[in-house]
Amino acid sequence: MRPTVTEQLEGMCRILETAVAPALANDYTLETLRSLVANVRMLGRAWHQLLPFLHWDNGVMAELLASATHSATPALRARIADALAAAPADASDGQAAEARNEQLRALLAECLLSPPALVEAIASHLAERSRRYPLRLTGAVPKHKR
Amino acid sequence: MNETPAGSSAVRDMIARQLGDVLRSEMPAASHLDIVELHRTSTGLSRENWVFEARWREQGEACSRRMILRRDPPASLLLTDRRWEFKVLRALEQTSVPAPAVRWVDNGDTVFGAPAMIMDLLPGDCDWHVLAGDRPLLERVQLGRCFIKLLATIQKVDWRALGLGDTRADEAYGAHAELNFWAGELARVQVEALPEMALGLAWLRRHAPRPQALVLVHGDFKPGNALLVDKDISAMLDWETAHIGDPLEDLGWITNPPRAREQQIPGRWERAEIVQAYTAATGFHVEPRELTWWNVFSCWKLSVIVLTGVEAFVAGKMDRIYHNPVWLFQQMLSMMKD
Repeated sequence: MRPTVTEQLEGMCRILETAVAPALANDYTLETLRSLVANVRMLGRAWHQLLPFLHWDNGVMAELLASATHSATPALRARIADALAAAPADASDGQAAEARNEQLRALLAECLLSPPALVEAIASHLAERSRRYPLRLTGAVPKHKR
Repeated sequence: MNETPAGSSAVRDMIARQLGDVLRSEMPAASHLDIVELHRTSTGLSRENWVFEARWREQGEACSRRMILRRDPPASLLLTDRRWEFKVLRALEQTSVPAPAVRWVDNGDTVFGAPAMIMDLLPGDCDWHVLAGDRPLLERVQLGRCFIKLLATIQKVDWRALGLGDTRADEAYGAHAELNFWAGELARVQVEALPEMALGLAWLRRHAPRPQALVLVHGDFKPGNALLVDKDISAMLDWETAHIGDPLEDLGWITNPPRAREQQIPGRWERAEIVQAYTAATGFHVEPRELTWWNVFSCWKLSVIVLTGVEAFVAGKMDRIYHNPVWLFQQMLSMMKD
C-alpha cells in the first residue's frame, strides 16, 4: 500500500508548498493555498482516527437514547426504538458509521427536554465528544493586515 | 468556488474601471482621476478588501487619497447589511471614536456585482495577536488598557441622538434580541444535527439577563479589528455587526476564554484586571454570572459564524474549509456546567 494514504497526503502538501506556492503572485492566493495545505495535513493526522471515533460516539449515544426513551414523547420514543433496533452495519463501513452518527445525533438533539440528570449526561458526552473530535483545525488567523 | 480568484488581472482591471466611474461621479470637481496600486488583500474573512490609491487634480492641485473597497464575496461568514455599516460609520464621524470615514455605499449589485462600500484607508497596522506579541510587557498591558478605554468611549456614544436606534421599545434590545437574531442565522446555515448548539441555545434562553443600560455594541471587538500606530489605536474597524445592546456583550466577547490568546496577557491582563478597568472606565456594574452568560453567548455566536463557513464550503461557495467548532463547544459546555 505504498505510498500510504498518510504518505500521499503529506506528499501533496510538500508539492503544493515547494512546487506551486513559489509560483503564486498574490497574497490572497497564497493565503488560500496555506489554509488548504493545513487542512490536508490535518486530514493526514486524523483520517485513521475517524472510524474508531464514530463507533465510540455511536455506542455512547445509543446508550443515552435508550435511557431517554422513558421520558420521550410517544412519537420520539418510536423513532428512537426504530433507530436502536436497526441491524448493525459492517463495522468497517465508514459511510454507514457516518450516516448512523448523523441519525443518532439528530435524535439526541430532540432529547434535551429529558429529566435534568439525563440532560447532564448528554452534555457530559457532548463535551467528551468535542474533546476527542479528530477533524480539529483551529485555523490560523492572519497575523497582520492592512 | 470564489468567482474572483486571486485578484486576477482581469478582475482587478474591471474593479479599477468601476472604482473610477464611482469616484468620478462622487467627486465632480475632480479631473484626471486615476486608480493606482489596486490589489486584494489576503485578509478579511467576511468581505473582499481591495486597497487602492485614488489620484486626481482639483483646482489645479494634484491630490491623492488611500482608500479601500469592501465588497461582499459570493459567500461570507457574516450576512450583514452594507447600508447599516455605512450608517454606523457616518454616525461615528460625529464622535471621538476613531473609525474610517466612509465615502460611498451600494447595497445592491448594480456597480460592483455585489453590495460594496468605499472608505478611507487609515494609517496603522493590524496585529491580531499584539497583546501576546513581541512588544515589551508593560507596553502590551498599556495597550490592553487602551482597548478598554476605547470600548468605554464607544459605549458612551449617544446612539439615540445619532439616529442609530429603530422603532423598537427598549425592552426589545439585549440578550433575547441577540439570541433570536443568531438563532435565525443558525437555522439558515445548519447542514446537520448539532445537539451542542441546541443545548447551548436552551441554556442561554433560560438564563438570559436584562441589560442595565443600552449602548452601541461593536459586536467583534478585538485587536484583529483595530489599527495601531506605534502605541496608539488609530482606528477601530469592521463595524458590520454593530448594534444596540447590553454593555456586557462586548466585554463578554473580550473575556471569552477561547479568545484569551488574542485578548489577554497571562498573569498581567486577565479577566479580573479587564473587568476592573472596564468598571472604572464605564461605571457599569459587572455581575459575574451575567458576564459568564455573555461568554457562553460569545462561544455560541462564534459557533454560528463558523458554521456559516461550513455551509458555504459544503455548498461550494467558499475558498476556505471550515470545520465543526468543537473547540468552542468544549468551552461553552464547560462554562454552562459551572
